[in-house]
Amino acid sequence: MLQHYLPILVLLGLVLGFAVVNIIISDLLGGHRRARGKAEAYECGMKPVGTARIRLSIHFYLVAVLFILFDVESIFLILWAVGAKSFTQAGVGLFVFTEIVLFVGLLVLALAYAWRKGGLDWDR
Amino acid sequence: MANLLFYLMATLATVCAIGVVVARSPVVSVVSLLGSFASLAIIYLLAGYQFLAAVQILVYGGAVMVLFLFTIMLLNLGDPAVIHGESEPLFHHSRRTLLGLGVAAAVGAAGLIAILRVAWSAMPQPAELPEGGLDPLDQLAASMFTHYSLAFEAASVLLLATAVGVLVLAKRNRRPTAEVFPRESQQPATPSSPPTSTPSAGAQGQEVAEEGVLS
Repeated sequence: MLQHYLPILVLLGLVLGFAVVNIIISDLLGGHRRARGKAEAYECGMKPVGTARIRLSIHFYLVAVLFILFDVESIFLILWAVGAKSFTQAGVGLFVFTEIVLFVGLLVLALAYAWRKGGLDWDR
Repeated sequence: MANLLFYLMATLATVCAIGVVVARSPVVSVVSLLGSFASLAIIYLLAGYQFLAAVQILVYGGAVMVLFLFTIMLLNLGDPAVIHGESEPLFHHSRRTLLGLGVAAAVGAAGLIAILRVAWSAMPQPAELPEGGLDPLDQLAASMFTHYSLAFEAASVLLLATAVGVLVLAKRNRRPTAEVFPRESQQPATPSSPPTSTPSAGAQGQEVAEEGVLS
């Protein structure tokens, strides 16, 4: 069974290899003349003010949780999509379809609520 | 081969889990946790549960990780060395550390004894995994949509409740801000928004705990 996942391993190896080899090559081929001025922000850059660890807006959290909702929804939908044909053959196709419509309907309700409340607007 | 991969992944998962606890920077902790999740997914795959492995990557590696990262970034966590003035050792309560190590050792020993009491020969030999794994998607779908249909629908209600909850939490202070600044002058309302999100920061921890259970 495991050998079915060999392509994923190959892909992982290719991706990692591409990233690492690019870093190494650019390090080997690129020049290494360091100067004080090079490390500084230049023209379009700004002098750094404070630390990068600032507190983000609550809005990001809202987006993250909404993402999780529809992520979980997609898992249930995958299950249904895989079994849909066998449900029809077993004669429970309509029942399961009603279930899915109810499920998606409730989540559409969640989406509509978020939309209505302005949860999808980037207003702050 | 599979055994070797298992030991490799188990070691990686443990090392990453230790990294979560030991790392000083919360973001390093989270990335370490991601490594632990990924190794666990491969262990699930080795055990023959491919859907579980996929869900582990999709939900834990994707969604829960996003949630953790954003929660960490919502809290005002600066560099700990800067906050405390200096970097203090993590395990500076030697008595508590010893107590914790003792408890961990006792639990581990109990588990080992329980395993070793069963004779090695009596252990079932690992059977060859079936082609579709131990959790074929069609069977899983069949039992979920027929036998467990009520639980399935309850899950959608739970998701709806989560959406409503997070919107109430995140959008709680909108109305008062709008009343303080009249409708026509929307410009002043923008600078005042960072302080308005401050009170709700404490409530985020609870929400995260609930999310963990949910997923």
